[in-house]
Order: sequence, then structure tokens, then C-alpha cells
Amino acid sequence: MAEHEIFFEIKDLVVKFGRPGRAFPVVKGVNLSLERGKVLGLVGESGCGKSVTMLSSMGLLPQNNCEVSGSILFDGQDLMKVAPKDFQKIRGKRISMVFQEPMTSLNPVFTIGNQLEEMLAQHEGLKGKANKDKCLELLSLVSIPDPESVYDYYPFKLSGGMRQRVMIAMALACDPELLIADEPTTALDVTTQAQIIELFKDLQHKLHTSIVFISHDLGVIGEISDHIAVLYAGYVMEECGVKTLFQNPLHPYTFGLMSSRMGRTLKNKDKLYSIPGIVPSAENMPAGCPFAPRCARAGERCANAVPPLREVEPGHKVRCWEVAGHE
Amino acid sequence: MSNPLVEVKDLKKHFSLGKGPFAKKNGRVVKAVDGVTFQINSGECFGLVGESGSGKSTTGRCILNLIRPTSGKVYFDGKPIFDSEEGVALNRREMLPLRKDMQIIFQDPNASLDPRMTVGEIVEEGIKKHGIAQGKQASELACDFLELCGLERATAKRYPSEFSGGQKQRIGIARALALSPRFVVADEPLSALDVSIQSQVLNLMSELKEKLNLTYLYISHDLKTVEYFCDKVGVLYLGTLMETGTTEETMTNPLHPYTKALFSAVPPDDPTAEDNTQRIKLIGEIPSATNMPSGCKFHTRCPYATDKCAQQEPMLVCTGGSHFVACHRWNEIKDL
Amino acid sequence: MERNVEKLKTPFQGNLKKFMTNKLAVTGLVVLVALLLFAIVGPYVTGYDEETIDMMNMLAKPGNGHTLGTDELGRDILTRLAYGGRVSISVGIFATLMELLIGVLLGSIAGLYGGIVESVIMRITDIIMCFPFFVIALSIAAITGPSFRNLIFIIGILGWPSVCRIVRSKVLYLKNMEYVEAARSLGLGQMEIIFRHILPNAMGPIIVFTTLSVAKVVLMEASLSFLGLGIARPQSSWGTMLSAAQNMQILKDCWWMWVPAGMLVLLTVLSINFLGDGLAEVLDPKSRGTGGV
Repeated sequence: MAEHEIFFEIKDLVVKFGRPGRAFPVVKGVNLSLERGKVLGLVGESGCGKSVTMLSSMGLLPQNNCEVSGSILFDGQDLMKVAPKDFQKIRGKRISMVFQEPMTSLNPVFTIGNQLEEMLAQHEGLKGKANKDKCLELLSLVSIPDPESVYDYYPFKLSGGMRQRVMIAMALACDPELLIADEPTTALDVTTQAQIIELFKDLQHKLHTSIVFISHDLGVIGEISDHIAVLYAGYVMEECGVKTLFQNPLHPYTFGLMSSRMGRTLKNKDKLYSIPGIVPSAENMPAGCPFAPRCARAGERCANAVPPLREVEPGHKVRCWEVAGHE
Repeated sequence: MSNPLVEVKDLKKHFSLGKGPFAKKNGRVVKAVDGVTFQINSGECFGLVGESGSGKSTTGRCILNLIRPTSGKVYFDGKPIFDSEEGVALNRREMLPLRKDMQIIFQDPNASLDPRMTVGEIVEEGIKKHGIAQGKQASELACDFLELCGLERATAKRYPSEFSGGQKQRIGIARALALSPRFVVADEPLSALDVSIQSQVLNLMSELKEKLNLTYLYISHDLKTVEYFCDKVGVLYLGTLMETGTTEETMTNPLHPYTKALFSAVPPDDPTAEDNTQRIKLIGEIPSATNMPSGCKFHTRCPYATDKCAQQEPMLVCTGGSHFVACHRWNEIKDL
Repeated sequence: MERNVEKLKTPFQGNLKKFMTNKLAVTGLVVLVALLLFAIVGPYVTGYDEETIDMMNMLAKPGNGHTLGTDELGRDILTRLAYGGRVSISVGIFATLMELLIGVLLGSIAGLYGGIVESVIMRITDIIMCFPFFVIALSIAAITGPSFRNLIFIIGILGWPSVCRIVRSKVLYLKNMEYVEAARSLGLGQMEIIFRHILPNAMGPIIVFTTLSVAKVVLMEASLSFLGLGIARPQSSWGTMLSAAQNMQILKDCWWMWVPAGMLVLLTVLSINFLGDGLAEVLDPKSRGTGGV
């Protein structure tokens, strides 16, 4: 396995929702890349296009009301050109996904064992005892206590955190090369969230799976990612290594998000920093930089033209006219 | 010390599972709130922290008498709302004059506004009910409150579905404040909002607190906002207060192992910094409220639990100042 | 601080626009309005009276002054159809209103108060729903005698449980909504909450039930009258006119005496059902697009 090999890449991804002719772009030319064995964090608020970006890489977007263009390269293969039938072989086996809602992602009428075994039988062709052994192995991999009894449980018997562990076990069942985790801790309590983050870190250490981790919480993203992309209104606003992002955020939006996180260091009862205004909806998108109406540094140019994503220092890309370097 | 505005003593709310003529007697009971005691002084903000299922929302609703408590005492401004010893339990009519003084802000702005009423009608409803103003004056007053909450007067003619989550939450706040209450229960007012909107709403709430001299019960699972917003904190676990004190005391020097774990579970400000303290890992998850552990409710997950913890429930003991903790071993483990 | 959306759209306007896009429902509405017009205006236009007997033209074929022919007593079929429409449709409307009155009232009480009240009400609905409708309806009709009023009473008294159940489940859902809790925290009373917050939001399923129930009642009227226990002759209704087909001779040779009545029943029921489906789709909040921001 080569170091620094980019094996997953999204190029100029554009996703539009709605009827033809009146379609609103939700993702507007996103470029992302992931090296083997690394964790890429996607952070942004609701409606910024982070989930849609990754759903399109899984080929899971609804066919009838959205247009997708661009390319998604997975291990040299363009997933946009893969036939739906062949996609099924990739999905679940080489790329798998963990969703936000552990309460609804499991089928309530089958036992945990049933659901895991079905998955293994389909993708790995495992049968009988070998299948069950693999199941138990997976359940203990995600640190479920007493996997033997959990194997026979129906989902309702498990708490949210445990179900999320089962979902992760399912996602890992076929040793995927890429794991997409869409807000996997959002529905959980803080202490459970901490456990799941630890589990992800642990698994990444053990299995060297490449992970795309989606979250709205900078703190969560920061703990697990190597590289972070900040999304806003369908654009990548800033992209850099995790250290750089926390120590030197350059985009006003990132800066605002950082400042409005209520830090434990905040001891005085000063007014909290907050970004004014609201996230623009897809129908009311400003002409220029989508963040301009809320940005304190916005000038005339910002209102008229969308700034390009530029590399301001090695490995640190920012989409902003006002950040030094633009003439 | 001023008299407490809100006083809660040994508050209990038990829900029995299974209803109807064929339900078993002595069926299973969910102890949602199981003996909670605290006071909120006028002008203070009391934060109630806990994970889902800890009984924090039920406590808030019991204080407002939206849910009738099973036993205990709830006093507002020296007057009893519920007192199982004295046999006081105000009914709806008796509560009516008090409703003006105690209001609630809800968690989900999408569910807390009637979709078939205009924003103006929503805010006016309470004003008219309590005879504060009628007709045109009521509408004017409603607009004043919308303006106070950072919305335009013209919003009054629109329907809730036309607004974003943050704006809806402002409407909900305007409705609560339109009665000029003295005490407001804020039940997770931020958890359904986007990150960049949360701080706006929190700023609005603290601004209004100063302007209108409000007293808050702030219910949240988010320790960071509680730390910023509240003067006092109570940490709930399975319906029982584990630790309570001023924010300063509890946040800088948490004594209960659960509080410690809760703090260490919060993602750090800068995850890349080297000095992040080691996480206290909790075993398992919050037990179901139908099957409550014996003794200290936290002992099944506590890294410091002993036999005593499994048998005897610890009382809240004062550890200095207004800092109370319910743990047998707080003194031994405080430096760990 | 936020930019305004220029157009002011009430939920009603949004729904209307959506309803207009459902072609089947609009067709249903148009046909229904046409049928109502026919029933109301028709008798004045045909030039005959409901009970005028034309001795010269008994069992006349369509044409010859009688557009749809005459029956065995020489009464004009077209006129009787219009009069019958008045009866059939008003039985549908009034019986449905009676069902609604009982059902909505008991349903909201059961949902809101719960406990023993709910148990009693729901057991009564269960019992009524267990009755085989026609057996009971026929026995009551046999005792009270066939008449317009009795027919409405019978259908109303036996038909309310289904709307009662619908309303109850909707109320159970709505009463746990935060805005109902907000209303309680403002100090509103139970009745204010029911009429201001719960029933307006439960309107969707109630309206849909109403349309479908009118169709159902028109059919029931036809069935009961067909069996001779609905509308008393000589008053006409689509059901009594259909019952003419009980006579083999008429069924075989005089199609004009029963086919038009049957067609009208079919048209009415179909158009009301299309309308109901359209309304159901429009009023389902899940299918409603998010308005504005």
C-alpha cells in the first residue's frame, strides 16, 4: 500500500435538486480528495450539502428529481459511470456508510444476528458457522459487551449507542476500503458520543480504513479527522489539515464558527460572538459569495462574484476574496 | 440572601406503565424524577444538565404544573403550586393568575408553533387570554414583542412555515415573553438549531434577561452553553441530582464522578492541543428508568464504585459554599 | 434583519394551488357541481312535476317529449331523477353531518380526556362497529317505517364510530404537540384548546372523511331504498328508482327506468371519491412543500 496515495477523489461535483429547468444547485462544484488510511472531516450546517455530497458518492441520491455531474474517482474507477448493477457490488462491500439515526436504520423485525448474517452471506458468501463466527467477531470488534446474547437480540432491546455500534459493525462487515460516517454521533448523548468517537479512532488505528466523517460539530470533527473541509451553501469554503484549521482559520465563516463555539475558557459573561443572519436557502442564494450577506469583512467584490478556492499556503485552501493573497 | 423565587423540594414524578382496566396493579413504574431539590433566586439562571432520560424536562414541566408531580413541593414566589404534605395541588383555574408569571420556551421550534395560525395570532393569544390588552392594542403589543426578539413587525401577518428554525425560536420566545413573565423555563432551546444560529438565540436570551429582569430555568444537555449562561447548575442523572452548586464551583472543580465524566466527554475547544486531559471513560450507558440500579444510581457505570455504593444511596452533602454533591467517596476521589 | 419573502402565501392559497394541479380531483369537483345543479334546477326546466302522471305515455321510450322516457305510471324519468338527486344527495349530506356531529364530539372527548371516559367511548364504538350494518339498519327501518328522516337517523347512528376513531387518534397525536402544551402554559382551557388548536389541525382527515362518507351514504340510501326500506314511495330517490329493476320485465325491456339512476349513483360516488382523494393529498402535511425560507 503506497503512502500518500489518493484513492478517493471527488471532482467538480454539482448536484441539483428539483424539476428540470427549475432545479436548485445544492452542491456547487465540490473537490475533495482522501489519501488511503486517512480521515477526512466534512463540517457544515444543515443544508450546506455535506450529506448530499457523500450520498452521491454512494449512488444513493434519488434518481427522479436530481441532476448530478462531475466525477467521483474511487480507486481509479469513476463511480459516476458505473452501472447501477455493478454499483451494488461496490456499495456495502468496498464503500460502506453509517447513518445518523441508529433508531431507524435497523430493521425492527429481525435479530441483530440475522441482519449481520444476511449482509455477510450476500457480500462474502459466508454460510453457517463461519458466518456466525464472523458476526460475533464483528460485534466484539465494535466493543459490544456480551456479543453472544446481543446476536439474538431484536433492535428494540438495544440503546441508541449500542445500535450505532451494531451499525458500525455492519458497515465494517466486508472490510470496506472507505467508510462514510454521516453524523454518526449527533443523535447520541455526550457520554455515548465520546464512546463512539473513541471507537472510531480505535478502529481507524486497527484497520487503517479510510473514513469520511460528516458532522456539524467542529469539536467532534477535530477530534477524529486528519484533514477538514468546511462546507457552506454547497461550496467548500476552507480546506486544510486539522491543526491548521484550529490554530489558523482564515475564512471568516470558519472563524465565526470557531468563535461562536462556547469555550470552556470563556469565564467572563461577555456577549457571545455570533454570526448574524441566517443560512440562505437554495431559492434565495446571493449572487456572489454565499456568505457575503453575513460577513463582516464583505466588500463589493464579494457581493458580485463567487471567489475561487485558492491555496494560500501549502495545503491550506480558502474561498474568500478578502484573505491576503488576492489582488 | 433574597427569598427564592422558585423552590423545589423532594420533587418526584413516577409514571406507571400500562393503563386501563386490565393493567396489572403494581405494574412497572418509571421514576422520571426521583427526589429533586433546588432553589432559584430572583434574577438567577439555574441550569439543569443531564443526558436524555435524566428527567430534566419532566422537572421543568412539573414546576410549571403542566405535569402533575407525584409528590414533593413546588413553591413559586412563596406560594404553593404543589405540596403533597399540605395537600395543595392547584388546578387549571387556580393556576391561571400564575401562568402570567411563569412561561416556557420549547425545544423544537417546528412543533411549538401552531401551523394554522399567523405569527401575530400566536403571540397575541396569551395577551388576550390574560386581558393584558384587546383588539388592535393586543396586535400592537404582539408586534412590540416580536421586535424585541429581533423580528420585523411585518412578520406578524405571516405563517410559521415561512420562517427558518432560528426565527421560529424567536417567535416562540416572543410568545413566552408577551405575558411579561418573571420566570421562564427554557427547555433545550438551542438543541434543534444550527451552530451559527445557537449563539444568536443565546445572546437574545441573555439580553432579554437583563432588559426584563428574568429568572431562568435553563434545561440543556450542552455543558458549554450552561457554563456560559447559568449562575447555578444542577447535574441530573436518572431523576436524581448528583451535584449542584454555582457554575464556577461545579465547572472548575467537579466533584461527582458523573460530572467529571460528563465534562471530559465534551469535545475540547482545540482538539489538536497537546494538553487535553485524558478522557474518563464510562462503562455502558444510562440504565433504563424502569429498572433503576439500587444504591447510588450511578454505581453501575462509576469507575470508583464500591460495595457501599451499590447498597446505600448517597445524600447530597455540602462540600463548602453552595456546592453539594451526592457521592459516598467524593472526598477520596476529588484529587484523582 | 432577515430579508422578506415578497409573496404572502397563506396555507389555504398554497393548498388551492396544489389542488388545482390534481386533474382527477378537479374533474370530480366539476362533475359534482354539475350534478348538484341538475338536482336543484332540473325540476324547473323539464316542465313536468315529480308526481304528474301521463296516462297516455306509460313506459314510454326516451324521446317524444320525455327526454328519458317515463315509468310504469307515466311519470317523467328525467324529472324524477332530479327530484331523486335532491333526496339522495341530501340524505348523504345530512346523515354525514350527523355522523360528524356525534363522531367528532365523542372522538375529541375520548382523545383529550383519556382514562375511563375514553375506554367507555371506544368500547361503544367497537360494539357498534361489530354490528352487521344491514341487519341492524333493516330492523330499525322495519320498526320505524321508511322515511327520509328515519333514514338519516339510522345511517347517522350507525356510521359515526369510524370518524370518532379518526378524530380520537388525531387528537391523541396533536395533544402531545408542543404548541398544544404551549397553549396550556398560556393558561387556555380544554375547550379553547380543542377549538383553537386541535380541531383546526385535525381538519384534514375530517374533511376527507366527510367527502368519502357522503359517497358511502348515497350508496347506502340506494341499497336501503332498493330493498324498500329507505325512502317511502311515491317520493323518488335514485335508490327507489333503481328498485324498479326488481321487476324482470322492466330490467329486460325498459332500460331507461333504471340505467340513468344507476349511472347517476355511480357518477356521484366516483366524483366524490376523486374529490376526497385529491383533498387527502392536499391536506396531508407530509406532502405539503415547505413554504418560504
